[in-house]
Amino acid sequence: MNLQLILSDFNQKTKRTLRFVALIIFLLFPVFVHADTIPENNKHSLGYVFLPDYYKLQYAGGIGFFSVGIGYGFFNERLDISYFYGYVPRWFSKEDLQSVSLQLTGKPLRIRPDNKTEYYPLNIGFFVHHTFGSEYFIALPDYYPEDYYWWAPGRTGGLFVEGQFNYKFNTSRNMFSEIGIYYRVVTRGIYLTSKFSNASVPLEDIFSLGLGIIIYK
Amino acid sequence: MVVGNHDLVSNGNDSYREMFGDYNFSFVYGRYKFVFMNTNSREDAFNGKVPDIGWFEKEISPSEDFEKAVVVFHTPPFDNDFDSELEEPFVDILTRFDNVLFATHGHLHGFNFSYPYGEEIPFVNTPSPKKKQFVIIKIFNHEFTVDLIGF
Repeated sequence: MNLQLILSDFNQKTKRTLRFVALIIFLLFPVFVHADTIPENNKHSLGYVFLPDYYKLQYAGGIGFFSVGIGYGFFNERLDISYFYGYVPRWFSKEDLQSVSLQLTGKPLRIRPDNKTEYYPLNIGFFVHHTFGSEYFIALPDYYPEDYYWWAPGRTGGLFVEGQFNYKFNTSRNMFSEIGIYYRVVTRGIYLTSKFSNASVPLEDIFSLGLGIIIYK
Repeated sequence: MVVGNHDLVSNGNDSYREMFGDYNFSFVYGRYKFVFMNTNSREDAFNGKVPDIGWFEKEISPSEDFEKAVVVFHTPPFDNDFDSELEEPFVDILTRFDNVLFATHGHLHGFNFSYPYGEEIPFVNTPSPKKKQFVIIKIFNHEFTVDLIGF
């Protein structure tokens, strides 16, 4: 077995491992659902603090046919950092696609009509999206000369604008007493570049719509 | 239409086939056979299967169906995106039966008319639309004209 074969085998194994880790992160979190029973005075316990602030379930929006996410809010809910696992079933793309994305959302505007409802009319987000699979390379394969492609199909960055409604229930439960819904318009750097260099690219080819629900801790 | 190298990156191979069909295909019109083929060797990591020399030989071998052939591909054989090990067999088939009227390709973006492999086979490099040019090639009586049109 030559070095190249060993390396490619190693890469395949690394990719499989990464995919596995991504899945495990999501599979482990439901274990914490029983944290529902955490009494009020335990809200400062280490376990509770590290529990994600929210879970998201998203339809479309450029990161998977459906995606599940976890994340944390910072600066009094003005900044969100979320991590998504996205899935595209093969009947949409000929083969299953798995991907992960890391998202940063700024939420500068907040309207609170009453103490149960919140509306964020203009969230602005940035994300990095990583698709698994050998054809979605990140490092340029060695059969290309240097800089043959300036972009990597396996890792792209994008932007979105979003609107979000939150609602708090009247409940005695400590957890899962707030839910939200959001809609977002998403594009990517590579799509904007296409539009910039060829104005005839239709807008519906570079923007996509995503819809999601949020369950807060 | 013939597949170009950047059509094939990432999952482009599946998308292309879904939208436009096979990479290699041919049809006969009048006494002419038009042969379209994938010559983008680099996108398949120079695996020796692109271009498909066996298929090309079969298509271009003289038959009663046609008298002359026109060969259409994206990457020309003298380009470094074309598998250098297949350049010689490819050009050998182009010239072997003395039945190819001309070959036409893209990839190099600018218009060019040349004889890179001797007088038998003229090559027409069709310009990229970015140059605001295209060519009209008219074929008649085993001859052809090339008009470069600006827009």
